[in-house]
Amino acid sequence: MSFKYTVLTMFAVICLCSCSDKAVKNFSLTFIVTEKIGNDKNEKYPDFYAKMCTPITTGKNIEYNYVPGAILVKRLDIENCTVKLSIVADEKKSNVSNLNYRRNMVTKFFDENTIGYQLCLESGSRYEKKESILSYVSSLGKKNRVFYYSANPLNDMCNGEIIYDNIDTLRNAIANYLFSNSATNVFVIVNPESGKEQITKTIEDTSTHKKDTTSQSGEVKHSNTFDNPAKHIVKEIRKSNSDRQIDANNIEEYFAKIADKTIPYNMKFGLKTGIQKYFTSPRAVVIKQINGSEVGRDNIKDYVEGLSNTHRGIKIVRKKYYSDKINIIYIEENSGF
Amino acid sequence: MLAQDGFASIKPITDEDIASFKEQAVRDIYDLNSYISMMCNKAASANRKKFARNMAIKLFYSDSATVQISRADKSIKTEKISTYFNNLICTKYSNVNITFYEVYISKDFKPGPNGKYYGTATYTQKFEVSSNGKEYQTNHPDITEKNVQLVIEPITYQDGNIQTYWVLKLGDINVTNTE
Repeated sequence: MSFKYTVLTMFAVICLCSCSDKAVKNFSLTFIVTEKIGNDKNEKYPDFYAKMCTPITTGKNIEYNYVPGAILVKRLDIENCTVKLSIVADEKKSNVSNLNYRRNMVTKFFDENTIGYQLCLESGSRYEKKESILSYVSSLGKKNRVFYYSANPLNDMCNGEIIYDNIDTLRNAIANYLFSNSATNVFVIVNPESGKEQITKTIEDTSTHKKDTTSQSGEVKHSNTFDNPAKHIVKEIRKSNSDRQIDANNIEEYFAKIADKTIPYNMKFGLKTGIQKYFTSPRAVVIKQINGSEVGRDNIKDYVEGLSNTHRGIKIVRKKYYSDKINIIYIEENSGF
Repeated sequence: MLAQDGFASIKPITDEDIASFKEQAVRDIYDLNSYISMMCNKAASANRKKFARNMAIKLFYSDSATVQISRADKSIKTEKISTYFNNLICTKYSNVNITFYEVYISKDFKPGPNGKYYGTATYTQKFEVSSNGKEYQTNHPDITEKNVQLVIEPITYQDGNIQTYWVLKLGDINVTNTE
């Protein structure tokens, strides 16, 4: 984790130094969520959205706000929902030099439709109100970038990408990415480990929905521009879904498959996630033994990650339970070389 | 009861434990080789390389541990392992292959004045690089014998009760011979 933060911090500093006179003009930011985010006006949205979307102001004059073109929160617990987007224009500002302004993302929270809520921008100087929002989103760019966020991730990675567990780091990562990729569609998949199948469906639905809405309104001239990148993402996630087909029936089988040299690393994500269900938490203790003597300890999350690289055979010696789940596991390792 | 070094009571190390730690040391060095290979693997994703780097660093007593590298002009350069791993990840060569072999415990574990146990392992490292499919032409020595310091140290952690246990960590890596 510390390395991740160090790299991000270094990257942020580099961006600050080298790009202080540039601006992220626009992009779309979509949250793909697998959780309920509120159903009535009085219910507050979770801290995640508040922290992601609260603007950070510095009091300086700003030429462009570093804000997304549109933010869409898609709930996966309601099917056939209608999603509306809206953007409110903001005045131009000048002298952009503060990294914090790149994190100025969303200021307003709406609940105008049946799915519950949308998070919308109050800023976005490039958007003209006469233009259809879908047209605006369509014009944002052809690139896509998927970020992953989970407050308590079971793994550090998902589909080869970091699962961020810190809002500020995620915001910085998005901002820094956008700083060098000014036109893009950004997806933040929240809790990716709990709903990957649904996420695929949602991205497909989102794409379909946008097409439908476009045809109804008749305002969008370049709808294909938005469809193509979405298909790209669906393709990526479908690929990862096929990877996740590897499963196991019991904890011994999980360990054996994670250590299996013949199974490609990329196909072990589901196994490394799946085995966590046997443990109280990713921090459950693994006590490593050789010939009955303890030679080291690790947490289960790091241990299975290491096992997927070192390919050691293991034998479970003993388990200690807490509330029906394993709190401590004793493992005798075989030689892996 | 606290030991002299301030750690909570800990089971003394037996000869059987030492034997197990020796075996673990050899495994850790091969693990280090696996992680280094992953860091050098051009086909691996950047994130997986970072993972390998983090896992490799965990094998050491600290990320300030050092590694000596023999250079083309026969000089020896000392780097922090974190820097060394970063350089491997960002290597300019199209293909790098680092292989460890002949790993053995060259110096048995002995207790140090601070309550820790120290030993040394020796391994031979073969370093091969190529660029654009051709073997890289260089005077750089490609086979190096290295010593790695081994430390068995007590670690204390709190999980309801304070527990102390022995753990093996790798230390500084020094070049002993180059060919």
